[in-house]
Amino acid sequence: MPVDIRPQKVDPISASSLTELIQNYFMDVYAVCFRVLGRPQDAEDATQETFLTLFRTREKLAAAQSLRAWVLTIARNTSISMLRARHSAAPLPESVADAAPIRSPGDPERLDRALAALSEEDRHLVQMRFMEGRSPAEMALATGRSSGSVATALCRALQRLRDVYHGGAR
Amino acid sequence: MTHPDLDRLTAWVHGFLEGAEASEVDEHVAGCPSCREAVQGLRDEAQLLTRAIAHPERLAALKEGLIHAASGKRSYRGLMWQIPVAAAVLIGLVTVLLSPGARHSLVDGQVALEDGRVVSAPLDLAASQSWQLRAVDKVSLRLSDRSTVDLGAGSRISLAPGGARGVLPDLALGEASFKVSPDSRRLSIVSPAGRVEAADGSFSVRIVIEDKGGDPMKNVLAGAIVTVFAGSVALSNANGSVEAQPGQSAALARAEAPMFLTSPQDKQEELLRRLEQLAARVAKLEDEVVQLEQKNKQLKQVLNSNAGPGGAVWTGVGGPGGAVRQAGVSGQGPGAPGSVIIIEENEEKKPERKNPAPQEKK
Repeated sequence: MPVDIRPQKVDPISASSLTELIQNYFMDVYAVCFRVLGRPQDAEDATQETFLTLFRTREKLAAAQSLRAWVLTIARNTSISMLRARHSAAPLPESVADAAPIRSPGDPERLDRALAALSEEDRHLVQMRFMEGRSPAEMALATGRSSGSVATALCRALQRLRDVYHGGAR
Repeated sequence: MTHPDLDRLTAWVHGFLEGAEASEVDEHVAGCPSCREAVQGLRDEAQLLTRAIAHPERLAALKEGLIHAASGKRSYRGLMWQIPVAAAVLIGLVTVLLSPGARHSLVDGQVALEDGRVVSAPLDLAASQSWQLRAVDKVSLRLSDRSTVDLGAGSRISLAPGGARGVLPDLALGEASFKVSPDSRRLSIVSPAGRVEAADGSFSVRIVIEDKGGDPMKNVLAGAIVTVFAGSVALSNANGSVEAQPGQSAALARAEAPMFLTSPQDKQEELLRRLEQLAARVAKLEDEVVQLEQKNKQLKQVLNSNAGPGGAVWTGVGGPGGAVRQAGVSGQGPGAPGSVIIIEENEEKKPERKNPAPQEKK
């Protein structure tokens, strides 16, 4: 990961505001990266890369109209370019019908693969519910759907997740 | 009420059911042990997913590393701000990448994972789980404790959480060079015949497989050979332990205490000793040749005096009816230790063959 450390001749953004940037947007950036990439490890790498990019291009940060929009755009672009560069994952295993819930402690590698196999939309639902702990009403609001429709979609997403997870065990 | 299906229970667990629908499931679950069990399974799954999607410890370490990178500038404020910021970013990056306990990195090369997938560098592997790696080509790994491992093609290593440093490499096959990052705690490396431990320094570990008849399934594991380049390396198994210093090689074998292998100096002495032995043997053989030649002469004299029609005429080398061929005495090595004298007989005489200096087998 080459890092351009050449000094740039612009007004610096103070260290405290860089720290603030991380404090305010760390989880938002991670959420975007996870939604795009699917694998938590990849999302962590993309999160790191996003902030390093933001540090390097801090003059643009100062000029950005909406800080949040700018930060999340960088996160999304970083993740998408990582997704393109990523080696194609192993072919997905055969689905099994009516897979049971994933049992604790779970196999992290298979869980990662199952999460990566979901569509971005499915992952968004799973993430809102399990990572951000949003209520059904909040999820409905965020997706512009009815609560019932969100519930159905979340169940489908979980079903697909379990299918891939359990399929990987065969 | 019949048992609610998994989707309905899922919706109920996550609060998507309202009013009558919700109270119906409430009531059923309260009185149905199997559904209560299913609900518990769904709650466990939710917890598992929460942890898997956003690993709290790893994310905290990442965030901390980034904040460290961003705030590194403070102490240098007002004094050439650019360089400290750049340096801080770099240090932060290194801190994040190398923060102990977080991850191992595949720095160079390709490895096959347990499930057969082949992955290329650069790649990070979570140190919190176990990995079984087979080097497809030459591979460089950086472990979570910052030690590096260079694997030869075809080598197999597994990395499990454990040991004093949080990582327990286990070399099962092939060859690996370790550069251990200095630390008060020792890095333990597991090999099939014992443990190799070092607090710093560099050394190589080679797994030696004893080949039993060329059938790979019958290969019997012999042990590991450790060669130390720097630092002090301890080899131990159930039968004992040794501490190897730079320049020394030691072997780990099953059912035996670890032992030092001969150093290059010892090897030279050994070679000299063998050469002396060879020279002595050659001298002995030369004596035998002389003795045999004398015997041959005597025989010829006897034959000459008794020679009649139809009998053999022995006249020595190149003589009529017979020949004596002498194979040269060679002191080149243990492969040519003997000298052979063959007396070629004439047709009418019953064959007589002598091999006075029997060839010794190595």
